[in-house]
Amino acid sequence: MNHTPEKTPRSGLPIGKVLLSVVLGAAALLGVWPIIRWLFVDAAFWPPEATACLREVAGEDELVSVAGACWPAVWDTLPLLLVGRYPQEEVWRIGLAALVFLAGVFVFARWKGPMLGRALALAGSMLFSLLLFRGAEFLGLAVVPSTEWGGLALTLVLSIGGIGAGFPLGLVMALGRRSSLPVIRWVSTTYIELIRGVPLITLLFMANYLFPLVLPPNSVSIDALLRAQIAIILFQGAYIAEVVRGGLQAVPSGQYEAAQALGMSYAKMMRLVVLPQALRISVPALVSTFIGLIKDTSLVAVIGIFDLLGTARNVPSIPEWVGRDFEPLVFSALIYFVICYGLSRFSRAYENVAIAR
Amino acid sequence: MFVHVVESELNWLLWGVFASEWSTVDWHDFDPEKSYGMALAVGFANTLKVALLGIVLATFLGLAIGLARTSGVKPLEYFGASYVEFLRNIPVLLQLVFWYAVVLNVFPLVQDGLNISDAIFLNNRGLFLPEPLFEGSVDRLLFQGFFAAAAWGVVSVVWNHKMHHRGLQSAPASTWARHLPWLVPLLGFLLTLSVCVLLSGVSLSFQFPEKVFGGRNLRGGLTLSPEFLALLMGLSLYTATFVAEIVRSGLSAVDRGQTEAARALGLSGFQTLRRVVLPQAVRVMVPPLTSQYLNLAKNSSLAVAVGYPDLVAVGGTILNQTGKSIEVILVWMAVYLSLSLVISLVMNVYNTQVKLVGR
Repeated sequence: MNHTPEKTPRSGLPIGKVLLSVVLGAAALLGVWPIIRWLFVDAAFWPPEATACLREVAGEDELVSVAGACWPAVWDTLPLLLVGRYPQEEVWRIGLAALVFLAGVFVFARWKGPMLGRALALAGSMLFSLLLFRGAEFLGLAVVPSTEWGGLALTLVLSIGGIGAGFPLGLVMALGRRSSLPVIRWVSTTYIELIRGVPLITLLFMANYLFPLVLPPNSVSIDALLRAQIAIILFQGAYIAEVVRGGLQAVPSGQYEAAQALGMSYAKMMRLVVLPQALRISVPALVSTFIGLIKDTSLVAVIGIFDLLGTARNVPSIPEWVGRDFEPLVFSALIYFVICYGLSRFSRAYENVAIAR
Repeated sequence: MFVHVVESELNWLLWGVFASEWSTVDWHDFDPEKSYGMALAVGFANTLKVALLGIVLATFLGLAIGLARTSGVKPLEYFGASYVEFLRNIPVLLQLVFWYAVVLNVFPLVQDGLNISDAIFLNNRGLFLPEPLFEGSVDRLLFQGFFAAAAWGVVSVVWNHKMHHRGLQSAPASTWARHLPWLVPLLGFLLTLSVCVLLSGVSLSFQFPEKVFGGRNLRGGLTLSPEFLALLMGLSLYTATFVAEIVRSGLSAVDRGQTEAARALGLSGFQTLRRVVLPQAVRVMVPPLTSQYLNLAKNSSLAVAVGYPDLVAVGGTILNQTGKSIEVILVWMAVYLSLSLVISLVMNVYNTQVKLVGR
């Protein structure tokens, strides 16, 4: 007996899905339109003065604020958002510092020399660019105290400093966690689990209030920015330790055994056999930790340090731009998005190239 | 001495003889006369409120978006992809500040706001709901409920542990008996709670929000402040992006042959998802979900930036007023570490339930 199934599979156009797509597409456009209208259509763009955001409306005596976004609020405060209160005539130093840092990264990536030399070159370039940032008498540069730093430049300083110092710390802690010596293992594990179990904001408060307590009384206080930077370094160190630990576990145990069979000391084994493989495996996770760090540095806004987000939150306090809450937030969101999304795309491209090799 | 203390505590627990500031706690009216300890307790309660609600909302939203991204309907996929990519790359603090600005500026005034039969209101002063009021010693009932939950929880954990270590032959793999280790303790707990409620003589009534100042403000009822709403929205939307990615990877970890076989057997799309794909996907999803829940609990500490009095905000105020920084910081660390521990333990019980046996 011929039994035909009741439901025959359809061939051709999936009508249900097409209809649903059309309906949803229309609904999405309807929902997105007010946002686009606020962002571009009804917005004021030029000139960068408060008057550009006021319109004459028939029937009203006074000028009425424009219905859309007031972008002059961002153009006018752009120097504040990008470099904080850094003196205008010294801003070129920030550009130079960035170039020095990028040169250090390039040398690290391309130079085929010993790993230690490359790492030292990178560390040296970071320290030199930090010196350029701050300025020094002996270089003939005016000193710009860290209280004047702010905006995007400060966000990048905190992030790069955080991972620059956090990476060696995390590496040491990861190796310590796998150590056979119980005290070292206990100390590393406690550090990692403690720091990972608490929010970053409590660490920032801790650094802000506890560090001055360990100094002798009536002595000079530690720079507020340095305290925040130390908290960020401690925080990153714990997360990097976990990432590196994953990489160390991914290296086959045969590698450890072969190195020990060849009579290599612990240091030699790690330096020549294990760490190169482990770190290569952990690169994607390390990049994603770095992306997370760039976002987490925005938390210093809560303890009164004016990084990009802190400055953006503060723009409505400027008398000219009272009430313009959204425009600086949208702009800084765009900057964060470009940086983080760009880094994640770069990381994916790097992964593909590395896997292809 | 110790026996005497335990005895008097048990006495209070069962018969309410003990009297102190803590036994007459009224969770509505915290005033400046109360101690710093009470302030921290209220802050901790606020943190729990936000964290637990946020976890629930983020899970459902993340599940919906993860399913949208693998649905095959192009607009849903694009929407899911742009939602995830957009919100994942923006700092959570920025999102919280943004949502707070939205709630304060974009939400309508009380007169023009949402009004559902004069019982539920949504406007720029917050979300107002009818409040359940209990007459009688509720705090004693709460403590009895807590002890009952702990006792039945221990029963559940031990039963769960025994079942999974008995070996493949006797472990009920796919029968209804699989659900007993959590079902029976849950029913036992509800039964115990009902008995306690009946014996304590506590009664329930509702208080509805009232309009004051000619309808321009509301008073009374269960008020969820704009700060709470902004925090909840920001945290849930942010964590939902990571949950959506976890859901997507969990769904793709299930062999495509499973879906094809299920469809070949005549199961509809929804049935395939519910009966075949999701149970296998959940196995893969639980460990990364645990770490996302922990992240949400820790991110709730950003409440200080939107003015919501959670543990960190209250602790920060106490720190500034008293200068006792070490004590406050120790309290923070202890609370957050225990919270992380509890969330990990609960998720591990669930993980043991769903993970592959015998691997």
